[in-house]
Amino acid sequence: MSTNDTDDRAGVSRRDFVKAAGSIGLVAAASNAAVEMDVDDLWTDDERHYVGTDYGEYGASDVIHTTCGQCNTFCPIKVRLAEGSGTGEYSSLVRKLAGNPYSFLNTQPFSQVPYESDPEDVAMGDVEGSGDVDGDRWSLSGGRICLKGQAGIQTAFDSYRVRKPMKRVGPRGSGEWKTVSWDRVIRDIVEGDDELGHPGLKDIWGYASQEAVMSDWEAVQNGEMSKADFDEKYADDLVDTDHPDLGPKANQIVDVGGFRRNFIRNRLWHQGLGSINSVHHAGTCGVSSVMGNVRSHDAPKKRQYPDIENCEYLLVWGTNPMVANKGPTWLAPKLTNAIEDGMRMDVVDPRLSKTAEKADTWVPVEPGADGALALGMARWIIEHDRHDLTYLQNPSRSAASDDDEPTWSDATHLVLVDEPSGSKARAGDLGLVSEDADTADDFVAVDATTGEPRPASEVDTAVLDVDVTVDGRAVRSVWSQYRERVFEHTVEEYAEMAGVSAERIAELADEFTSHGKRAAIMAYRGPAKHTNGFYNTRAIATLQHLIGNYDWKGGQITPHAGYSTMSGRYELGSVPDSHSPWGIPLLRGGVNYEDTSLFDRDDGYPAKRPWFPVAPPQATQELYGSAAEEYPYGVEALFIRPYSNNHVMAVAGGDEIPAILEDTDAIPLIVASDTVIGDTSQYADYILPEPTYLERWENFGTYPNKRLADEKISQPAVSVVPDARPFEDVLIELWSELDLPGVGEDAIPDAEGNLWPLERAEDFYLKLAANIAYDRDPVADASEDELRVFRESHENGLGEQFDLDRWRAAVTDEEWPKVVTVLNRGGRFEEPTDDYDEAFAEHGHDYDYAERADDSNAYDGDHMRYKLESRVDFYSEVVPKGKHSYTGERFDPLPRVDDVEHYDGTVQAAVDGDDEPERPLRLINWKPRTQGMHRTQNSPWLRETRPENPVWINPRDAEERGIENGDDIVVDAGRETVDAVAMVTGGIRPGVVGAMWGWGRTGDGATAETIDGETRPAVEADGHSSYQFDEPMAEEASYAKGRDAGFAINHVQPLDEELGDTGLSDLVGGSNAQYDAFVDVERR
Amino acid sequence: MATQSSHFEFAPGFEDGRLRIVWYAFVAVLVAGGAYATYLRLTRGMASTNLTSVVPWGAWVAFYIYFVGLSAGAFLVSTLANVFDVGAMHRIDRDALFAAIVSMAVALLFVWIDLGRMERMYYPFVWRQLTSALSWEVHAYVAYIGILVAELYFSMRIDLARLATRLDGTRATLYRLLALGRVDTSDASAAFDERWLKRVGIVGIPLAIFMVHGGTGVLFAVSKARPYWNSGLFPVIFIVSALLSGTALVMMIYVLRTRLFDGDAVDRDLLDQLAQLLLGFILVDAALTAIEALIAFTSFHPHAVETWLVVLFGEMSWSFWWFIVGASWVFPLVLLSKRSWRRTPSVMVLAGLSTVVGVVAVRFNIVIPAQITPVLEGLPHGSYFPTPVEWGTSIGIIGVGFLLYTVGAELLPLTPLSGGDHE
Amino acid sequence: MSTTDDGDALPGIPNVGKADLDAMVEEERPDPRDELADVEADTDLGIAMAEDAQRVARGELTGDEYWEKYDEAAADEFGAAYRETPNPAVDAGDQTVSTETAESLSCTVGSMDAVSTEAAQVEGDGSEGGIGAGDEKWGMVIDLQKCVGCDSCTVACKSENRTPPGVSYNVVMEEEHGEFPNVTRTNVPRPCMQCDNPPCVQVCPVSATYKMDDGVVNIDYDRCIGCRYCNIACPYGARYFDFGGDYDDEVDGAGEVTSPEYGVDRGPREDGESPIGNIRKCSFCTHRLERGEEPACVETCIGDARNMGDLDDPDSDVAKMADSSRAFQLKEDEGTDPNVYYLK
Repeated sequence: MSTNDTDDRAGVSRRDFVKAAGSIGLVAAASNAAVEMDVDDLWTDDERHYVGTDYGEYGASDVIHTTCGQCNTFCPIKVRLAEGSGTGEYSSLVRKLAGNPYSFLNTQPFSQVPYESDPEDVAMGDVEGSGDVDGDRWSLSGGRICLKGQAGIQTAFDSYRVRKPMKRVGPRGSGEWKTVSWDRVIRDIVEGDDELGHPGLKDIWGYASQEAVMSDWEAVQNGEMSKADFDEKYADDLVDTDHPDLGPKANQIVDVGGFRRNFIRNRLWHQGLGSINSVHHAGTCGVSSVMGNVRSHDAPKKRQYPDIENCEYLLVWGTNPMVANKGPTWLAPKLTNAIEDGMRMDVVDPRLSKTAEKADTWVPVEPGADGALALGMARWIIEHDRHDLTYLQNPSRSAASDDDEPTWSDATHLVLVDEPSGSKARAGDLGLVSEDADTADDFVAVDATTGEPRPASEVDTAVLDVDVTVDGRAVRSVWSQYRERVFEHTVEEYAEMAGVSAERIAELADEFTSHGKRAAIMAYRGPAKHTNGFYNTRAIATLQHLIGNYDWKGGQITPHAGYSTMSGRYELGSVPDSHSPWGIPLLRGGVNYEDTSLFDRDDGYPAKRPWFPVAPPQATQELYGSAAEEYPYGVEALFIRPYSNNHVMAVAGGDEIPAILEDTDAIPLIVASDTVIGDTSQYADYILPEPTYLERWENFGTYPNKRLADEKISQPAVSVVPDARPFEDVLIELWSELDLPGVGEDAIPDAEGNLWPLERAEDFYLKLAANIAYDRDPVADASEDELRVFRESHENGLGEQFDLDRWRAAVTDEEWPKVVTVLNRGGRFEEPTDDYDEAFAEHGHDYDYAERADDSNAYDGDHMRYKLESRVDFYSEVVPKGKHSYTGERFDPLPRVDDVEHYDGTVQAAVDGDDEPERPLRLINWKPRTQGMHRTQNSPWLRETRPENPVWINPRDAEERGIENGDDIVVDAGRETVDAVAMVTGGIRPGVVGAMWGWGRTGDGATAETIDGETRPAVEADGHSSYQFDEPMAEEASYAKGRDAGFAINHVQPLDEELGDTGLSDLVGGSNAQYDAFVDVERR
Repeated sequence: MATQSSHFEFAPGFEDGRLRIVWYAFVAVLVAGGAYATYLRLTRGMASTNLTSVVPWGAWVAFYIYFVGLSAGAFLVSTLANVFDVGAMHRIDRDALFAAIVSMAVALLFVWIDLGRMERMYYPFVWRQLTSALSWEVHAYVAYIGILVAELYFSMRIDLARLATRLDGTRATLYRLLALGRVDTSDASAAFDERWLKRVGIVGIPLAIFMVHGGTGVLFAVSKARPYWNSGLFPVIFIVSALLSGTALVMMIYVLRTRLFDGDAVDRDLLDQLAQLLLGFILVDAALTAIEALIAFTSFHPHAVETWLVVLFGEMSWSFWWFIVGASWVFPLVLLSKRSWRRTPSVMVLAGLSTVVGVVAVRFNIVIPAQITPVLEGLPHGSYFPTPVEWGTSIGIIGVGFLLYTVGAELLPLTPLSGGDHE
Repeated sequence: MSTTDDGDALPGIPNVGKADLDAMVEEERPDPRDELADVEADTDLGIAMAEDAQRVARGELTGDEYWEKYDEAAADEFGAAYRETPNPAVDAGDQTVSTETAESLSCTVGSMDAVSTEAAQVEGDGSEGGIGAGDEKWGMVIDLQKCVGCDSCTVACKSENRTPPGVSYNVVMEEEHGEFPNVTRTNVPRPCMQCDNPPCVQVCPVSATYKMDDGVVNIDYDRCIGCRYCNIACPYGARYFDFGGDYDDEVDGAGEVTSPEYGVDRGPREDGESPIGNIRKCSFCTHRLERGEEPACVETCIGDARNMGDLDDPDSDVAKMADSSRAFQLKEDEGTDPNVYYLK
């Protein structure tokens, strides 16, 4: 179309304009931005259909912050409540669980919301600075929790839960129960019951104080008192008047449970009953690792964790922090971000764990040979002078602090080598100072400038290698002995033992010593759960002594950082008129056999069963055999809370336990407090319904793998089983009936000395919340709004079960608003910096406050804010005080390479020896990624993600046996054979097979249950067809199998040759060995 | 024209009353069993099947495409008569059309029972999706059934008219209704029918080939997610095996109905013609399948190769070797190889039956194997075999097809009343 | 609105007003110094700044250096005018001044787009908003280096969306490669990709499943006939049929809670009622996004591998991640163009 000349408007000629503009084309470089307007979209419907505006909004009144209990990590969580139609007995449904956004544990790598934030803003993520969903890659409303935590709803609402107190019908383990009233149960337990023919606590309990007994016993020895009088006087009070050192009869009332230690162990068992026997899960869990660390450090240090954020080289050793350890919710995001930011991580593990998948180098070590690997690294480091001499030559705190070192080592300290117990020399012993000098108790080091032995605190730089005689006594430095131990084998020999090439050992050692203080080790159960686990852990710990990385940014951390729980406003640990527990613990920990009256009775060594002289009395694996053999004495009443103590499943050789439990002569009364009819509790006389973790109080700790302080409090969020009672409440009632101290009126002193009653669990825990609230700077008072939110959320969650006035009455009116502040947040969580709320509003959640502030609560310059600040030990004085109760030999003060042995010394698995195992494949096992121990098998959501525990087998071993992935196989462990499924993977060392532990259950719906004549069948597999899509490694969206799916690892573990009724034990560290079975597998 | 007679005999049904009872009893058993299975299907929902999210399509879909194929094949055989005027074929023209209609009805019943929400079966006519082959298909099916009915009408009307005029009472009324009131039996009306028959047939061929059958093939072929289906040859193979099964079916029906209903002698030349047609289709089908496999193996597309390996050597390879190779190719080829056998009705019934059954396996082998191999490495492999409910409902639906066909064959003048349309 | 002296101006339309222009034009070639001659401010400073501004433009001088050089002087010289006049050159983080400099100048920075998008959000863009409106284009980025294969996403999704047995909107696939000891495994989480060219939508005969303007592919449970064609067509195996199974045998109240997918609350799960008999898949948790919460799987991701945001906002974290050289999509050659990106 041509331009129309006459078409001029507003005095402008179009033609002129077009012409004038024509020249622009020559000069203006137009930008390329263009308009895209007609991209036709075939697939968007003209109208939006099936779109609503129900977004499920909620507010603070629908949220309760508490703690997850699906595994022993105990993450802070946010429980979002949901209204139900009111069909069940439950007070409320749970809509969703998430991490608690107030807690830095659940928001990694981002920062938590400020502690002061209004719960109403926090609920749906409206806190200023918490980011938003469209702009930020991750905005903060709920925090992170793992899959097991997500499934917690199905634990609380498990339809197989115990709903009423139950008494067995027929023999123990018959699987038949009848419901009884609480009153009746309490009476039966106190008075005894003719129907079942068991005694009551009244008949069993007896107590006399240690001073009284021992002074009378002295009198008997001196002939001042006749034995008959003694017998008569103490017949009802002592276990055995011939062996008063066994302690009071109360010791025969045994508690197995472990958690709620402050309440149940300290207050009720120790101080109320006067029984020393309150046992937790340590022996089956990580005790050898804990003790290996405890013996390697002077101040309390149980665990090895790095400062991940600043670490440059991390050696993960036999632990799986990405999906296990404690806990994945923060360790995994910290690790993945650190790796992406350039941290190198190597993983020592016989199999390619989820953590090893992310490693720079995977080191598939021979199981149980970790000590050899560690000592091999130590040898390379020492040979190449890569150890930190400055650090090692500091003999004391003052010398260390001159070098800005928060810790120092015992390397230069002298040991009295002619002492059988191998103790370290003190300045007083060697006559260096007078006996009453301040420095008389100092260790001794040889001053490098003068060459003279001096009290360590007076030496600035000490000599490492010393082997001399001082004051007529032969002394050798710790370093001299450690070095000698390390040099017992060449790197090549260590490599041979560990199944790792010498080059690889050199590479690890080189890398470990190439980052100054910014290299660290994270180790846990892998190296520790063998009979040599203690020494393995020691060897690993001393590697870090060599570089002195403790308390350094990027190094090894020890932040035991919490808020006061047991004292402050209330002295919760103190019991007026308490009993003092004493005597030999049933589990024989902390006592040398030869120091007891049983040594003579039983003609000395070998002792009938193992003793654990340098470990705590927590070798739970020994409990049942000891009860059966009444060694050192019988158990009259056993109270079990199987939570983390489901020993039939958790103890290697746990399949031997039922027979012992079924024997009413062995243990006359067994009471279980359980949420379900569990694998262990099914053998009890009574099962008392417990609330699950979402329904009760608790105060769980956090492992020292964080930078800041936190204190968690669990509170009831819902009530699913109205008749369930927390075990505390049951015990309070029993103790009241028995008139024991620690409960009822006047049970708890406050700071002023006034006494408060203890009638219900909350009386204790609300006071504990008050202690938390007032520690350091007390928290702010809850506002009116917050008090209302507290009331509404608890009314929504607990319904009838919530008695606000009763809760309020447990603390003072002044304390209450602060208690509510703490409860509304699920605990206390330290902020990374001061004035954090303003900073947060400005910088938001995606900002590293700890790193960027000059003065943060996480770091103190180049050091951690929370420190170990003590000596670290190559050489333990304590360990050689203990003697092996079979041979009478002293334990080794140094790390060492050791074989895996039975109690009598029979070799189960050789490390430096050459004994051949009886079967070709070593069976290891590990924490199920998709389950929290056994307790979460009630969740079909979790069983769907992994329907069973296939046996990992290397293609080389599989091909030999004609096994393909997914094949049905038989695992032959000698004493047992079990059916399983093969998972053929290059991700496991040849010669080693392995599977997730945590499967093959018999309790909680895995088998049929009969209650009041009604039989409930076992849970069936899900899915409408026979197709399960459960081939290992391709189980995506498969169906859950029954709760008995898979096989029980511990039921194919070897039994101790000498004992025959339980698995093998580490006598130094106290652990139950769990990775030392040898099996063969073949196709079914 | 036939002689006018006031006492006109028209008994198109079974010759043998006992055979009729046996047959209806047999069909009743199928339908009753199917009814019970359907009851289970309705009350338990899709959980009564062995279908899963990994293998979402199974026996019902296989039967559905099988019957669509059967219908299209039968229709194409009928068009040989109507459009291409193959003289001898006229005898079987209506048979083929009616079989095609019944097959479509059966196919749609299979589609219906396969829906997760059966009560919404009319939704595809309320909402559409232009890019959806299935959306097009359901519309095509309706059009196609319309065409089949129209063809059958034009092919048969004159005989219906004759019956309406010659019989009396309710039967007369029935045939009058079926003739839509056009009871003119003049040559002009016959020519009119003839003309329209051809026209409708011409419209019908592309619809049958491209929309209905090719379209059903396209239904699969567009699935990029499944390379085994995602090939250009796929719709072609679909049509060829449709022709194969359709021809075999028509041949069988022709022999059986001629023998059992009409009591006539079988036209051996016609039989030979049909048999040769079948022979040709079998060879083409086998050749195309081989080419398809070759293409898959030389493409090295892992998914396609793996799927073919599943077909040839996997869990269900027995169905390939026994049913496809054995029943639909080798066995009929042997029977069709000799001229004398080709002219023996009983042998040809056997060949037809073998092919018809064998092609069912072809359909299963189209539907199932592509779902066995996961679409992403890491997802589970599929696995599937129908449940008794699936088999039961399938047999019941097939029973309904038998019933429809038998009732139709007993009522309708499927065999021209005189030698042919041109008297 | 126009200024008041515009008399007969029409609102909103630029107006050539009556004001006389006071344009002075000199004949000679102008000297920049003269330009500033009659300004009371320090001429040299102005010229130095202008010249250096040129150097910044030519890349010879960084914006940071420029502001470090002139910030003090300019503040002294120009006083309040300098501090108070909006000036993107001072304010814009990603143009002339880096965050650090901005902090040292004690002014916060934010990207322009971030602010304008936020502003747009507050205003709403004329559409009624809500799920599917297209105010955002939702996209997910999953970092495979960080994904630890823990399946927390899978279970979080089951809990959020209360899917029945065998229906899992998200799965995590494992791939193992290599031979001992050089074995690697990759964990590949698989939600629905919300493809831009979705084969599932393409095949649905009743357009029950369709693409919303926010990029999410919706399934209309009231329209879906359960033919499972989409199930067959999805190249990612992301669709699952609801066979009607439940967890009632072992979980109390299992069917009481359901998820308001696409903002539609269907109430408790009932036998025989939709979504039973329908196809199901990941909805990107649009109901959560709409109320301002991350999808359940993103919120809980233990490896910090999953990220969600608006791909249409070039300044959003995910848009940048999806743009990085590490980004790829699954089965890119299928042409489905997923809105889920993975980082190698």
